[in-house]
Amino acid sequence: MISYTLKNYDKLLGALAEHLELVGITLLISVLLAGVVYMVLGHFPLLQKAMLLLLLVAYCIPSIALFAFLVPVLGLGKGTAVVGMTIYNLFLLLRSIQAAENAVPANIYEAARGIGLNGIQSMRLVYLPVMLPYLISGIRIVTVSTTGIATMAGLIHAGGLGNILFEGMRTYHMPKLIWGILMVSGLAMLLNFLFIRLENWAVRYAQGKSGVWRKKTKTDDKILSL
Amino acid sequence: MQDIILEFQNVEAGYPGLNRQILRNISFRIVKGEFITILGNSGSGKTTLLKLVNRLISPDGGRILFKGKEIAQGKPEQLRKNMGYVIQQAGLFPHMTVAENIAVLPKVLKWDKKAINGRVDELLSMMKLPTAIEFKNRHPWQLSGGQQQRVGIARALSTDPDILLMDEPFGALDAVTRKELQQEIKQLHLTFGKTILFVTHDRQEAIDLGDRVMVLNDGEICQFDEPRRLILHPAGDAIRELFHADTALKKLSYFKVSDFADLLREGQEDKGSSVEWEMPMETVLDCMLQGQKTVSVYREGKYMGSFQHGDLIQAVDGIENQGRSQAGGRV
Repeated sequence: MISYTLKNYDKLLGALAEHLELVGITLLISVLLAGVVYMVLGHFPLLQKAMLLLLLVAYCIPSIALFAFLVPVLGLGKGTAVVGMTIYNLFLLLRSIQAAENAVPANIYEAARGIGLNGIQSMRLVYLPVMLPYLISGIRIVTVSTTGIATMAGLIHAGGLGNILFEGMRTYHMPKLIWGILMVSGLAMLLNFLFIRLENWAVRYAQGKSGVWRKKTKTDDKILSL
Repeated sequence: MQDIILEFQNVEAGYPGLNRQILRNISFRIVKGEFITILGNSGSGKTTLLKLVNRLISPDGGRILFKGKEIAQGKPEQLRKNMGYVIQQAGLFPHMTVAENIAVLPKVLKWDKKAINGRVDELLSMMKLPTAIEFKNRHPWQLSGGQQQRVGIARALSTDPDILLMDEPFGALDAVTRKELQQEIKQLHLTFGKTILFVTHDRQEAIDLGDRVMVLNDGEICQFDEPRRLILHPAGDAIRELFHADTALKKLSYFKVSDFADLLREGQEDKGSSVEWEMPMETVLDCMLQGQKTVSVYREGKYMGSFQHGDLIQAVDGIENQGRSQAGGRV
């Protein structure tokens, strides 16, 4: 195990980098696309419902199967993986944005409109800050999910840690298998942890409790305690 | 011809999906500087009426004129910046400090920093709030309900609007704070002469605060009059009931000495125990409670007559009887 690690750490790190690249690109595209789609669908409520239903169906398909659908159409490689993962993420993000919007208290919504702020101003000054914790929560879930599913991408020649993991599985090579598992789960947990910190900060910010007046209680407005 | 600041002409309004209209055939005129209270139960349409003024709701029929111009033209945001809006739970933005909340509109209007800070301090002291940095940097969660509402009113007044719209602003507060704020808003009105539209379901609040009271029932205006005319000429049993629980002293407080000129009798002039023609009737009672058996009335130096104890009893009687026998009211 140790000799393998010492001889091949560059390969391992390379796979990690590839994995991060996959996750990063997918996240960027997913978030931007979700934002645009949400704003456009806002004008067509019927289309919005249809879209969410469609994405829900897609989400229920296991990742390997989804990739299997996409490969004949888009070929093997990173692009296909990104498309597949984006489809999953779109579902989660659209629902997340919807939840964030619903979380804005009605009286704040009314106050912002009533005092004379227009659409962009009220969004920038009032709604986005209040929605921030929920949006970050959504992105966190999507990040962790993507990190996991990107492992499957190894099966369709997209590289990443999945490569190491599945190679290890196929050839009964324990070090590869263990490293594959450790790195994927470790990465997922690390990203989750970092995002939770961000989310907790956002909760305090949205409630106006991020200043000197923060109460030093144990379970202080945290979403999760890890 | 006085300055009519707000006018409704045959306005109808409802919500989409609702069969019947919430408001039907609403017409009225409000003069600049009046403190108008809008009284009604849930479902009477009072909040709908208020929201029609700043275009949060669109009417289904009729015209609404603000300062002579139809409000339906132009952008609603422009209109609202000139109308202060205060809602029941203040609606302060939780992520902003007190100062930032009050300064929201000035910042959006790109006032310069000094002007903004000056205005914030000015409004804070107007609402009897501390101007210390420590207070200005607080967030809404650190304020009591009463303080939050004061900040809400300060925010509404930040651009010195022509009209102040208030939707049951003191409804969520405890009785003591409510009384305090009622007195303060009355004082503010006397000092600054702002036109105020104040929606409430509290009869006493409506009668105490309003120069004129608009009583809404089931989407229509029952009566829209000064409190004393509501007592003297109620437009129905419901309105008569409004004053049912009032003491004689309270009822008397809505009238002026001049209203009871016919009860004056000839007597001895006594500048020592005198009241003026335009003073409220309760000052007469006040004098008598302090031991004077007769109170002389003067009108710009001229002696008009005197009141005695029995006259006051007759006055109160007259109020009660007139209320009972007459019906009708002007809108």
